[in-house]
Amino acid sequence: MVVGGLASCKKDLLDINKNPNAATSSTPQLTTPIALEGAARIVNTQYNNYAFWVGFYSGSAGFAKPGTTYTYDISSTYQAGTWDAIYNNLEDADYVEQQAIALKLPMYEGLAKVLKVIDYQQLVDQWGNVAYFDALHGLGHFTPKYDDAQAIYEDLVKKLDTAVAIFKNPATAQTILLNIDSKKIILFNNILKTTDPSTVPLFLEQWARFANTIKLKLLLQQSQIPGRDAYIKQNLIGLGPDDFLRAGEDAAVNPGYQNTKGKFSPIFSVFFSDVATATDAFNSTKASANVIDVYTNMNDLDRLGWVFIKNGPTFLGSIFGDPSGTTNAASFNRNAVNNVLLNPTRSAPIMISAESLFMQAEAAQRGYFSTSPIPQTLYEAAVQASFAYEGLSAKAGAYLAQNRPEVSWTAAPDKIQLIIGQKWLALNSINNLTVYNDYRRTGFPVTSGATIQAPLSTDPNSKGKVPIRMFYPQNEALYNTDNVLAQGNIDVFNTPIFWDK
Amino acid sequence: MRKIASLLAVLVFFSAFAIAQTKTVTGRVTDQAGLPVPFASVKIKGGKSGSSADADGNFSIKVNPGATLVVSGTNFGDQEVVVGSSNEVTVQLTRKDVNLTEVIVTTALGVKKEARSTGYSSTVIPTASLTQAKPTNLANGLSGKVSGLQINTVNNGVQAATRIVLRGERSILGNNQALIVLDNVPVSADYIASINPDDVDNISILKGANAAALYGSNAANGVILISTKKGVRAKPSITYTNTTTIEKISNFPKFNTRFGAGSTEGDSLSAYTGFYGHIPYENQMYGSEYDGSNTALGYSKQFFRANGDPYDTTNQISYDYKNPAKEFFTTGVTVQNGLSYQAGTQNGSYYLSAQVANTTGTIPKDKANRYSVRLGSSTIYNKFSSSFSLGYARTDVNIAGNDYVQARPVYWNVLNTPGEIPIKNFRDLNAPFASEETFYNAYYPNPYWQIENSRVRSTKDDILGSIELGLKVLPWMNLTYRLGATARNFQEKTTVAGVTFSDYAIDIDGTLAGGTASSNPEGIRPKEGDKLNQSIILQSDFLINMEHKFVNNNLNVRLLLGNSINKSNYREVSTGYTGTGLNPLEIPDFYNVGNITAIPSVGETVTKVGTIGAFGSLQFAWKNFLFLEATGRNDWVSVLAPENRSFFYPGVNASFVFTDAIPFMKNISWLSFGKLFAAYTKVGNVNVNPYQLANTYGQGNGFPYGSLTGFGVGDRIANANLGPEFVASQEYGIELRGLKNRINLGVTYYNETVTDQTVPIQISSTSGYTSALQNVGNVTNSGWEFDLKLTPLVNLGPVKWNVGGNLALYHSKVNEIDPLLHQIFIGGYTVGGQASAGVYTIEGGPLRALQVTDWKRTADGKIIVDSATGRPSVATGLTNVGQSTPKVILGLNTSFEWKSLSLNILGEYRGGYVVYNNIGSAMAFTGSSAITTATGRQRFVYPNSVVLVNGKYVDNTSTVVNNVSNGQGWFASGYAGASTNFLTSGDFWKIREVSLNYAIPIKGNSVVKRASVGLVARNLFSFYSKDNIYADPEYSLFGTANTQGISNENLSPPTRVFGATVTVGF
Repeated sequence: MVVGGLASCKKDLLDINKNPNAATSSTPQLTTPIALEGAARIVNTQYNNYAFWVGFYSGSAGFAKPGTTYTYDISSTYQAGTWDAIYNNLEDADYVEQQAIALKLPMYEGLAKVLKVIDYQQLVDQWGNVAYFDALHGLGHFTPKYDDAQAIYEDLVKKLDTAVAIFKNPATAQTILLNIDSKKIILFNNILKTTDPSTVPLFLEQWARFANTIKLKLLLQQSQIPGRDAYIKQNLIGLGPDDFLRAGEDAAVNPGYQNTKGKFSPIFSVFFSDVATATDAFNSTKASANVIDVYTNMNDLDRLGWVFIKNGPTFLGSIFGDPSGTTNAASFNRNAVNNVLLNPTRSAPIMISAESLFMQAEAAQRGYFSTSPIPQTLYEAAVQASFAYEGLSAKAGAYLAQNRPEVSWTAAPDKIQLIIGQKWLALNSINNLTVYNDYRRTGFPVTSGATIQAPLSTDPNSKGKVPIRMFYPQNEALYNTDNVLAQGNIDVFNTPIFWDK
Repeated sequence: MRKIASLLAVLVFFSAFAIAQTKTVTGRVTDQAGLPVPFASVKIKGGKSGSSADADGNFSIKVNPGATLVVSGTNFGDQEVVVGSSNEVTVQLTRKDVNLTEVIVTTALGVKKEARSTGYSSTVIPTASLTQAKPTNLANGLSGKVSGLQINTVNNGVQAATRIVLRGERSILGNNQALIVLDNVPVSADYIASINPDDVDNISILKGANAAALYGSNAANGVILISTKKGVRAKPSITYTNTTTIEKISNFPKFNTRFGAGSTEGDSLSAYTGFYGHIPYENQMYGSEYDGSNTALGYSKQFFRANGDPYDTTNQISYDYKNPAKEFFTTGVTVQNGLSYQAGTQNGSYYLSAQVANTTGTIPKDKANRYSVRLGSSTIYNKFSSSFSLGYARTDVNIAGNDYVQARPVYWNVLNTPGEIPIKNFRDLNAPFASEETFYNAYYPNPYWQIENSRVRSTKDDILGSIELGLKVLPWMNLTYRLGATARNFQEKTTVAGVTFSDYAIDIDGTLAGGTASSNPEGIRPKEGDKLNQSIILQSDFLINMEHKFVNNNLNVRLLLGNSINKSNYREVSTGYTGTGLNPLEIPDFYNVGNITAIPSVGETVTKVGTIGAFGSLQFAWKNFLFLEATGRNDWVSVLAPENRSFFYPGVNASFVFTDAIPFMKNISWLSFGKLFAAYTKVGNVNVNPYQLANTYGQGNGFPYGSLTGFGVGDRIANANLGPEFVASQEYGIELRGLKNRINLGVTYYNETVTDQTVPIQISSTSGYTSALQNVGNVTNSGWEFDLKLTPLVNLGPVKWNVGGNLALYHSKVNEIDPLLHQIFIGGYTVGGQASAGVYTIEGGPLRALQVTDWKRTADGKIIVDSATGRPSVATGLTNVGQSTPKVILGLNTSFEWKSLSLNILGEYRGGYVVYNNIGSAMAFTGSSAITTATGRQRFVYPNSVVLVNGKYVDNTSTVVNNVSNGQGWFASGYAGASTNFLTSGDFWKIREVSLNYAIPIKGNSVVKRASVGLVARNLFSFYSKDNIYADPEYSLFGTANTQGISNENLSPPTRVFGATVTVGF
């Protein structure tokens, strides 16, 4: 009697360690939204520094200048936060993938695989060899070893093939539960935000196209590797424009951003801490004199005005690297109502359709497709998609009609330079990492001597060249020392990523 | 002579009535002075029956003539009286020599033992010593009185928090504060502020793990056992005490007294003089030198005539130094009124008290009121004993909060008041130029507006009840059961009024200053936040105490077995609470969560912890001079996984009173007592918060968006295998008393090794997580303690002079943290994610080290300055500048008695450590510190600097620090880059307590039985290290957390307290 009483009292006293303050389990349905939003948030918030190097941004008069971005003299803390943010997002995606497999929810498994590829590509493109096969295993695996960058790329392509197969499997549609939970996987574009069963096939096709477009991005990124064409072509067999994100199919996330503190779209939250409170980042970042000139020279004040707003009678830019900066230089265009760069409720793009089309144009021009689409058609569709994305469809025709080598397919002596130059304009402040990747891979835009250019920093302390990769983060050197040391001596000016030949 | 006479009488009666029948004898028990001894016990020798005296010492008892009465009283020696023929006897008892009385100490779980039998050090602090300087917070009455006890008052204010640590720090990131046990109930560390010090009967300090081991987990940091009064067995008495003290700022930082308002921006610099120009609306003090002239204060303001017509005018003041900081702070007053009633009979007693302590602060309008009542009682009836105590305290605190512009505290806004400002002119917010609309300062609010309109109001109700029941089952066996509970309800509401500005103010501010008005043309909304929490702690102890003598009574064996159960529940609910995160409101002056304009920020935290302990101790005592004890305890704790939640830890200790054991020593006249002791104990200490064993999933990135939720995986990977930390503690000591107990010396050495500490190690984010809790780390904490009492040092009859001292030497070493992790950031200042001044635990160093930024220097320590700008630059990384906790603490006390007058003085010294004072950085920014005027605001060659010439560093004799670079002056921005500039020694001497008491002589039959008047003072003088021109080194920006040694401008200046006290007893 006494013993029994004691035992039950012991249970009441000791078995009380269930967390009442935070959830200790989740589901693919509950974690997918934050994994998806997190992936878009990284693309939209982590790469503003590259926008300085590729000629978009510069400092502001009267504010501290972005020191190492100005001088290229980066250290192991540069972009370290991005590394952590990506692996943090990967953990969420991994959780969705593992749980989806366990619970037999293939849609979520495919979706998680796509997210992981998006994240890992960003890691490889900035750091080369990174933890991949051994990563995300948690307890007991605190020092994951690093894998070869090209091997990671190849595995990412396979992952996408698996994802596409999942999306195309008719059985997958059957596993999508069209109940209250289903809205939680449908952040990707408004079209998919529905509980109508008839839209499910379209939804899956769209995800398959998205996966294929990312695959195209991985393959195209390897265009400069000698002898790689066969591999690239092999993986594109049978794929044509219908299989990639089409015009207007912008892969953008919008969980319901609001013009309320804490609920802003990711890019807005970088530059505004409250509805009317600009951050230092907003006040200290201005349009580069270079980008103002490019838009102005090509009669493209409309797209310029989508990104920047003038602070005076005319658009002024600040020269990149100028230690004092220009007073009244153009700042980011911010409007809570109109479609401009800084609209607190604007969807956060992971990949806009213009990027898909520019990539297709380049791949077609390089002869990668077995289906042989026409590069010029794809190029012009890409420029139109860019104008359309910024709500300027009506202006695209006149723009393309200009008989300038930077605009016209026929007038351009170097089609790749044309494509990359226009892609540069189309992705200004939308995907700055992709622009930096193209800059490293193709050398476009050139640093001087062309209309579309990205001049080097004029800072007196400048190292004179743009880094071609990042140092491994300081925390990695501290907490994963052996694997960082195994990568040898990293020189950010001379140790290229595998695709940067 | 009388005694002999009565004895003779007894003998006569004895012979005459040897065979007489039972009769009733009445008598009276007195002490040597003839005063009655209440409730003395009167027993018949060899018999079972007995009686006891009443409160006046009178008794009656039925006896056979010729029987012998044994009369005894507490603190009196036994006296035997043979009953003779008379029916009346008078028994005179002799008071025991206090020094010969064996000291009884309260050990773990309230078990009382003779001090000679303990193999570890423990100390009892009597009430008189605690309350001699009449502190409102009991913790302040402990400081400096016991070796190894460190009390830090971590901030100043009407509710100054205290941090109590015994024998230094031992846990890297876990709790280091001593466990407070009030009437057998473990309470939260801050509970000590809710106790009326006059209610305390005694405090036992169990300094280390050895003494406290039976308390189990949480006792590794030592225990402060507080027992409240239960009354005395005597006639009813009433005591009234009033103490009224005033509090004044004792130490201000060194101010700039030469230069007035002006910014450091380039455009205000006079190219001709090199001085900055005066800017009448500036908060910074980089303007021109004071010249006594009439000058504008602020820019033009708009007022209205009676008929409604507006007119513009500008305030004019004399341009000279007025010391606004000194003018702003006021004199705080604390009034304590206490009333107590106690009474008792031979079987028990009770105590009843009430106290009101009203405090107003040095910041105008700050106040705290504490109301406390207590009832305590103890009774003994044959085999049964019982006692209980019930206490309730309510504390209302109402203090100034943060301002409406930048959410800054009051002191910061005072420091942004240039020296020429006649600050008291703005005390009345209706006075001209005092409102938020017309105040001179374009960037900071009128501090008087702030104290009027931004308030933090809190109410704390503390209730504690405890009962103890005892049963003497057998002569050698006692059972004790205790049940105690404490409950707290805490509520806090933070409100900040909103402001609006006229078009006129917005316009002129925008044109001239770009200040608050033009930056907030739509005004600033009022804000509010609420916090409610409640906690309940339940404690139940069951003890079986057995004691028996063997081997001709030479061997005494004592066995203690017990069980204790502790349960604590905590719940907190908050809405828009944290600092600047207060919620904006729609309707002004209506501070209710329902009036919030946006989505309210809300939070809820619940924690439940349960602990069960089973323990035992077996002690052998041989002839009362050799004592050996073995202890063991097993804990079951709820916060660990079922397979790890049970753990056992043992201990042994021994005590040897060699002066009684070794024959020749008994005869050494100058040495009356000598004891050696040693102990070794292991204690399990669970430094794991609840719910650390499972990963958590939380909403981030703005989720939820409408009904759409998103739960991400937490950054910390849970570790289900966490276990307790283990403290292995050894302790050795000697106690000596000599020269008729005039000299009392104790020396103790302790050494603790703490292993398997619970530390969140940082891990590579490639694992998917950024940190993981691990049991790693190995820290050694050791020290010496010396206690010396000379009582009396001088005894000249009416004049007595006592001297006492205690000295503690602290040493800690971090042997290992983790193979990957060699240092841990405990807390501090960070700039852009990098620490600029932080407390660290570093392998190979002491447990707490300060690391700060420093200038780039050459190998021989000279500062490298830029050859163009003359400015030094900040070196990468941090410099380890030394330990941030004292290595030495010395307490000295002395008392003089002359007839009815007594004087007590207590001083404390701490030394051997450094502190970082961020107020220095803040004041360099504002230009309010003296250092900014060191070169008269002229260009200067940076002291001890070198410049690079032709690849070599040469002494800099000519390159001066330029005045303006990047829009900022040197002192306002560049100077703060090296935190070494604001690093000072933490050493100090404080005269903690001074009290002068006069006991007023009372005539025997007066209604008033006792009366005394006195003067008291606390922290009367504070002497800091010479380089410390900033603040009290006890302060901590992080409150009572582990980060100690870093203070800032948010903490009000230190104070001294002095006043008078009066006590009347009826």
